[in-house]
Formats: sequence, structure tokens, C-alpha cells
Amino acid sequence: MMKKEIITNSRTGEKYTKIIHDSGLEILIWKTKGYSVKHAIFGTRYGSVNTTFKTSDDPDFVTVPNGIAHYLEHKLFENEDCDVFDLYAKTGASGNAYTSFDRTCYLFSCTDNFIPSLRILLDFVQKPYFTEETVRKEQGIIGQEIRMYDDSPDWRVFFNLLEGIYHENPVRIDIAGTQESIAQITADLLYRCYYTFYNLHNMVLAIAGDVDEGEILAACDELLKPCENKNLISIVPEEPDRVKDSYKEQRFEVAVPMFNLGFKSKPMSSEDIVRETVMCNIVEELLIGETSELYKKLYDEGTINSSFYFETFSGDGFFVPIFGGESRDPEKVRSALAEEIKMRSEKGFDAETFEISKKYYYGSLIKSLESPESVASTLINAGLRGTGDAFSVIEAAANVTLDDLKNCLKTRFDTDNCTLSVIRPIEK
Amino acid sequence: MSDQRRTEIAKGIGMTVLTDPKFKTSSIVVNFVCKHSKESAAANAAVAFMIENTCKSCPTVTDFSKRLGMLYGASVNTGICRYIDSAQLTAAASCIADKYALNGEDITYETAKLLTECIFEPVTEVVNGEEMFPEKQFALKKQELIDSIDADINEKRTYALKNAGRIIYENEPSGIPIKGERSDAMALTSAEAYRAYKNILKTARIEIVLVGNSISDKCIELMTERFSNMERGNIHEIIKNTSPAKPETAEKTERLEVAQSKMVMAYKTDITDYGVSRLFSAILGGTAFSMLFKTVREKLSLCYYCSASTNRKKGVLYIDSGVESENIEPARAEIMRQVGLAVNGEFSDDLIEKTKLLLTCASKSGFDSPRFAADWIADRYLDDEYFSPEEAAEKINAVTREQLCEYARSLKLDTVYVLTGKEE
Repeated sequence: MMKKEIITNSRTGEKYTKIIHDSGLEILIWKTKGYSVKHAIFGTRYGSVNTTFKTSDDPDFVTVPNGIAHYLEHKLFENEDCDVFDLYAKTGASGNAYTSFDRTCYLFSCTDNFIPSLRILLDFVQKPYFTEETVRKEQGIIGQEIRMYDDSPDWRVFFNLLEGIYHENPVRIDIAGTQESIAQITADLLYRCYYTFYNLHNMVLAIAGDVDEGEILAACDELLKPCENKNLISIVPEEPDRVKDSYKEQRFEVAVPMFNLGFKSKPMSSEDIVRETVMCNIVEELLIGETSELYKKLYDEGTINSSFYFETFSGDGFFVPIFGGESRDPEKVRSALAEEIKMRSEKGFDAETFEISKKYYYGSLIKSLESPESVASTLINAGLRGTGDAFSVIEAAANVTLDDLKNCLKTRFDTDNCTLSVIRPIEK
Repeated sequence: MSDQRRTEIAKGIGMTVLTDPKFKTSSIVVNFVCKHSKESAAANAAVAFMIENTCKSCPTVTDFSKRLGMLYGASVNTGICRYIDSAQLTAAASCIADKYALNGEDITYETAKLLTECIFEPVTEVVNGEEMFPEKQFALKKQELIDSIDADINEKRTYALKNAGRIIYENEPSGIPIKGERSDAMALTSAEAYRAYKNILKTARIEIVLVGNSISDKCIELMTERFSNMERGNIHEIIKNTSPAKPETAEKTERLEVAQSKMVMAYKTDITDYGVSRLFSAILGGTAFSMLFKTVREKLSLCYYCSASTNRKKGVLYIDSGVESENIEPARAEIMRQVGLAVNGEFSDDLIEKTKLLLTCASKSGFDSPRFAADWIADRYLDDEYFSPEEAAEKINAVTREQLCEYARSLKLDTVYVLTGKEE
């Protein structure tokens, strides 16, 4: 029996509908009145880290080559008789897809013909078609994609960081895999992974726009193929607590050195990941955001510039607060941050700056509700996290306390367990 | 329902206000269009850096950021880009709508006020009787400008397009890097940058656009008062010239340590019609069902990406691709073959109709984003020909097969630029 719930948030006055469809699929619909664009995302909890898994049909865990989730994403766009982009072309929708570390998402945007476009999305994602020949052909294109990212210093400095932090976790491997791993991919392997991860119980449909809920559900009733919940379990290899390397360096065609500094931190369960990520984001802002004394000092002396940024890289089996940007002296940024962390661990944070940070965070969340694209993205994040609560970020930010932040700083920013990844210019 | 009004508030200064109750944020964008030359480029770019995150009332980045934080994470950004052969300096602010304020703050007005303070009240000092940007602050920003010029090499696709542009627009202002040459930035002084700043205020053509859920009269009065009380001189005239095609195709290969090569091919035409140039470039290489994507990438696997785009007002069609070095020549031959097919009208009615549908749907979504709406409005008024996104869709739909063929026949291959790996 289909279950339907209206999720509301008194702080913002916003609401959306959460439905558990008879097929097992979770459907999240946010009506954004007055907007022309309608956006839909059909996502599965299947990303590059999900290389070891089992279902109730399997006697034991199986491990597959890296890069299959991304490879599948490419191949699903080919139907037996036509290309999915040709189908979207008939409705005027703009289709796309992406694979990240812990998810694969298929999406489209349109202004007209929403339901016909939704039907295309629901149909092709549930209709795999691979042959050995079409699989082989894709190796060339994906190989070129991997090589293109090899030329990106931003990409390299980030993956070098992950290679330094993790020993075994597949998050350290490029999402697209390697030239060697994609050479091992066959049609049979793709089918095996498809039927494991593209089970509707493991998927979410997120929709935002000025849409009609009844029409959406009618299309879902017709096109979603009910499937049995196979109790999928995906695991990552046992990972030591300490980083693999505390320093990584690569020479590249860049003008100014670039760096990523990441702190190895214990991964979280889906329920806790939102609150922990929000707390880390606020800690990062208070430590070295533009309102901090440390930022002013490093900026005024020219150690960092406006390219400086921070983020919390978190997901299924990984959690790393990261600071990065350009710097002629990355080691100095590392030692300055280490000193600040030590000092703040003892003294805590300033209450006034904390309140500004909370306001800042609240504002950035309201901004993310401006477009149907970002609203759908907020919904899919909530759905794939397993909570289905799109307001949990706003509420977590509103309820965090200074004591929470002090604890977060102590547990997640261990200055003896971090990696500095540096890209330096090629010596001419 | 949305409401859009434009007024000429002073000599060469237009201001448009667009309100729509659906918006959750406000955008306030001020565009200054001024002369772009080798002499002025670095100084104009430095101005964009100097007015971005400080002003007299918030003289440090920290003070400035705290004020933005109190405004719920409002943002103020500046940037510089081309407008045909001119430079366009943009100062823009964005904030959440007043209805989301937790303590009743007038967020949009306060954000607009901060933006005007950045524009009209930058931090200065007086040295030997001359007003200029403070030396220490200028030195930091100058280094950032130099770093940003140097950083162009980080993203190889952009780097290839920038270097191709030097050849495509040889001897034209569009061939001069928008942030100037590194040597010019190195030689720049604080006094010169400040004079460039004053000159921009005095001579630039200015388009101001305010977009939001509601824009208060107080906010409109603030902008009107600040911009109508400026000293204005001779206003910069925006020249609209297409780029002349070279008698012979210019060829250049540059070598760097790269894994994947980049190829930029530039064709030139005198046709600058909005609908025709947008539709043609999309049919040729602007969609996942375009001629280039279907053949060069999907069928022949010669490139990871191969797309067409236009600098419409300059009459230039770019085809840029990411290609393995051994495939450079076959990719070039196939791209030229596809353009040849277009010249002969060898593309289906179905392709035309599908592309029209995609572009017109995309046009209709234009005013869903306050910032996109602000940029669209400014661009149309700077071009002295206003049309809405819906009217843009009509222009695209009205294009005929014959117009597309005429556009294809007018194309002349002007430049081929290749960025490739170092020889073994």
C-alpha cells in the first residue's frame, strides 16, 4: 500500500511530499509554484566506492573492478533501438547524468512536456541493454575522459589527497576507474551490477517544479516495475585509523602551487552524517572563514588568496574535512591551521562569530531553494541518505551549540592524522 | 505576476527593476562597459579586484565578511569580461529575500547599500596630494591579478580558447586578454589603478538591474540617488564590428605537458542574427544529438568532447575539442566534413525541429533565476535591442532551413589552434 506524507518546515514555511510507492521506490515531490523549469532526478545508491557487495541471492560478498558504476551510467543512455538523447529531443528536455563516490543520478530539466520526459527517464533507467560490442566501444570514450581529468590539477590535488589519506577505501580511486580496471569490464559484469544496485528499493525519484502530483504518480504506477527487496549490503574494506601518507606531491603545468589539506575522520552512519557534516562546516568557517582572524592574517601576508576554500567531504564510508586553494607556502597554511586548532580546542570559539556563522549558513540554505534544480538536488540528497528529510540540514544548523563545535573540533580535526597534498609547478 | 520597468536615470545609465513573488533571493547587478585596450586592460581588471571585498566602512576583508554574514550570507562579487570589443566590469550583490529574515532586517536594502559603498567608497589614501588605493592592499590585489592571469594554464580547455583568441582576433581589442598581459599587470601602480577606477565611473556605459521578490522604493531611491549624482564625461561608445576573416587560415600548435590535446577551430561570418547563429551552432555541435557529437564523438570516438559555440556579435563560430594527439588530423578532417555537409544543407528537418524545441524550452526558463534575468536584461539593453526570453524563442523558431544554409555558406575557416603534448 502506497504511503504518503507531507513534510513541512516551520522555519522556512516550505513543504514537500514524500511517497513510498508500491514498487518500493521513494518519491519526493516539491512544488515550486511560478517557476518555468521542472527538474527530475532518478538516483541509485551506487557510486564508485560500492565495489564489494552481496544481496540475499548471493552466498558471499563479491568484489568487482573499479569504475563500473560510472561505466553503467554511460551505457544506460543507449537503448536497444535508439539513443536516449534522441528521445529527450522530441520533448525538448535537457537530459544528463552523473556518477559520484556513492551515487549515480539520471536527470532532466524541461519547461514543457514534463510527463512525457518523466516517462522517458523512468523507462530507460529500468531498461538496460548491453552487448560485448557496445561495452568494448565505450572503453575508448571513457579512457579519453580519464585522460582529460589527468590534465586537471584541481582533480589531481584532490585524488592525491585521498590516496594519501586512505589505504584501502575505494574512494581513493578515480570515479571513472583506471585504464586497467575498465579493460576488465564485460556486459555480464554490467548486468550483474545493474540488477544489484538498480533495484527500486535502493533508488529515489526527486522532482521539483510547478508540477501535478497526480499526473506524476499515474506515470509511476504505469512504468515502475515492482521488484523484490534483495537486502543489498555494500561494504568498504577494513581501513586503518591513521592516514597512509602525511604528504603527497606532484609536478604539473600550473603557475602557483595548489594544495589540499585533509583530516582523516571516522565515517558516520546515514542518520548522523548530516549533523556531523553541518558541524564540521561551521567549525571550518570559524577556524579560517573570511570572518576569522587566521584568514585575515594569512590573506594579508599573501600566504593564501581568494581561491582559498574549505568543505566537508563525507559520504558512505568516508569523512574528511578539507582545506584547499593556491598558496606559495602550503606547509605554512598547515602549521598555522594546526596552531589554531590547538588553541581553539582549549579556548573554544567566539560567541559573536558563531552567531554570524549560523546566520550565514541559514542564508546559504535559503539560497539553495531558489531554483528547481537545486531543490531537486536537496531532495535527492535527503532521499539517498536514507532519511528523506530535506530540512535536516537547516534544523541541524539552527540547533548546533558552541559545545557541539568544541567536541567536533577535538574529534574530527586531528592534526597528527592529516595529509597535505601539493601540486607544484614543473621546474623549467 | 512579474513586473519589469526600466528608466534612464542619468547620462548613459539605465536601471531596470524586475520583481516576481516567486523569487527567494534578490540580485543587484551593476555593469560598467568601458574601453578595452592593451593600455587599459590590466588596470581595469585591477579595479575589479580592488572594489570587491572592502570599502571605507569595512576596510578589511574580515570586517566586510562579518557584515555580509549579518546579512545572512549575502555576497558581493566583481568580475571582468568582454562585451564585443569593450570590457565589461560587473559588480553584483545577492541576498535572501526580506521575508526570510529572522529578525525583520531590511536585507535587500542593506545589501544594495553595501554594494554602492564598494563602488563609490573604496578604501583610499592620499600620497603627495594624489588619491590612490592603499599601497599595501594594492600590492596584495595586484599579486592576485597576476596569479589569476598565470592560473589560466590550470584549465587546459580555457587556456586553449584564450590563446586561440589572440590569433582569431589579431589586431582587434578582442585579441587582447581581458585581464591584460602579465607584464602590464606587473608594471601597474596603485595610482594608475585608481585613475582607471575614476575613469570607469566617469565614462562607462552603465546598466543597473535589480531583480527580486520585492524591491522596495527605498532601495530604488538609494541606487538612483547614488548613480545620478556622479560626475560624467564622454560616455564610452560600444562599437559593434564583426571580426574580419583572414585571407589564409592561421595555424598554430603549442606544446605543453598535457595528456589530452585540445583543438580550437574558428570560422568567421558576417551574419550576426540571434536566431540563426544560435540555432546553427546548436545543430552543428551544441547538443547531445548534434552533428559533431553524433559523428566525431559517438560514431568515430575521435574526441571526448567536440562542441560548437558562437561569439555572435563578433561573427565567430568556435569548434573546440578534447582529442587524443594521434586523432588530431582525423578529427579536423571530420569536423570540416561536417561543416561541408551543413553548407550543402545535408541535415534533416527532424534535427532542425528537435534543436529548435530544445533551445526554445531552454529560453523559456530564463527568468527562473534572478541573476540570469539580471544578466539577460543588461545584455539586451547594452545591445540597444531588448527582447524577452520568450521573444528569443520566437526568433529561433522563425529560422528557416535556407537561412541556416546561408549561414553555413558564409563561414570561412579563419584559425586552427592546437595545444598538444611535448614531443618524446
